[in-house]
Amino acid sequence: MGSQVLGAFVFGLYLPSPALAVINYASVILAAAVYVLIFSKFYRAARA
Amino acid sequence: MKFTPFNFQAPLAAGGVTLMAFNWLNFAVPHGEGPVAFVDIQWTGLSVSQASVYGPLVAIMLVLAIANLALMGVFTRDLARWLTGGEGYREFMSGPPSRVTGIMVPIAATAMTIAILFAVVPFFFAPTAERIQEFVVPGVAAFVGLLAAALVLEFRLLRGWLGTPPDTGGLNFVWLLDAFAFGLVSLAGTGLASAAGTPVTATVAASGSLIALVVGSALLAWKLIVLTYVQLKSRALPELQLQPAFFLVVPIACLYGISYFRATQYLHRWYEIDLALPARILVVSSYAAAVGWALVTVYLLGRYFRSYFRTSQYFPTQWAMV
Repeated sequence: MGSQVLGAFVFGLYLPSPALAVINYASVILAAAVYVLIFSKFYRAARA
Repeated sequence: MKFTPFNFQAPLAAGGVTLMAFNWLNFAVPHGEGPVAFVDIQWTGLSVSQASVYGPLVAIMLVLAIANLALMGVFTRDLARWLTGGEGYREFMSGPPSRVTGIMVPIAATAMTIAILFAVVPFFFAPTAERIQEFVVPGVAAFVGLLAAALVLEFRLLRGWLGTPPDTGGLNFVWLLDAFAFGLVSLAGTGLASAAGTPVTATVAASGSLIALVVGSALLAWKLIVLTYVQLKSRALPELQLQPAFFLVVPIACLYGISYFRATQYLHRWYEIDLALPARILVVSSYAAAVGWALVTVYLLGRYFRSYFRTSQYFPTQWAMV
């Protein structure tokens, strides 16, 4: 998902393709979901 | 769970996702000069579909920016106790090379927080955006301090490795965390250089960024060669817990791609050196490399995702997936 940051630059500066916008958007949502998942594991481990 | 510097990956990842949402809005929402702000989104005139696109991103930005700042506060307090205690630090630094490199994670997380403060805070608070120049000088001072800390820690790591060359068989991609940290420091520096309104502050930030970029690029090249050799020689993937560390190359490619791109912008703005074509090649090729590496890693980690990750316990390398 980290590649999205550069993907947003490519979209904004050189390739304003709707497909790239959708991929970049989906990457943000997926990254947020994975963050919640890993943070919940981290939180449980920290409390144990 | 005992405190380790790897804990800083939690605020670091929160900051990363925050910047992802900010960048999407910055390039997708029409706005005037400067970065996009909350007031640039005409909320009352949005269709339902537009609101359902922008709304989640703004919510993600807000929640994870708060998480970044709160977790940085908590872990900075823990880090101070850990360092003053002495014992934990000595024990950590006597570990294997890949683990010891984790001492750079607090540096990376602090650089990410600087980037958040200069991107997300002005997004939500318009008065801050108008007065951004007042914050550039303190920001550059913090950046210089961070760069100095990164260099001191790196020299300490290199001195240890040169004194006792590491067992290459025990190395894994976690060893790239220092190159990652220098990438984030340069990202913060080049961001400040592009925001700076005076040539002096812009030059200080750009010069510091150049140092971070050169040191980080050299480390990255050296370590990638060693790790590729180690991986090819071992003929097997590392143990499951360590496998997500392969993903670390993706954000590193992005950080260096954006930092070099911003360096070309600095040269264009202050010295009228036109590097539009090299900048374009750099950004697009870095993106291609990052996406290519991510796809190969997803393929390599098929078994990890199918039968391990969902039920696994927390392990610090998992943050590399964000």
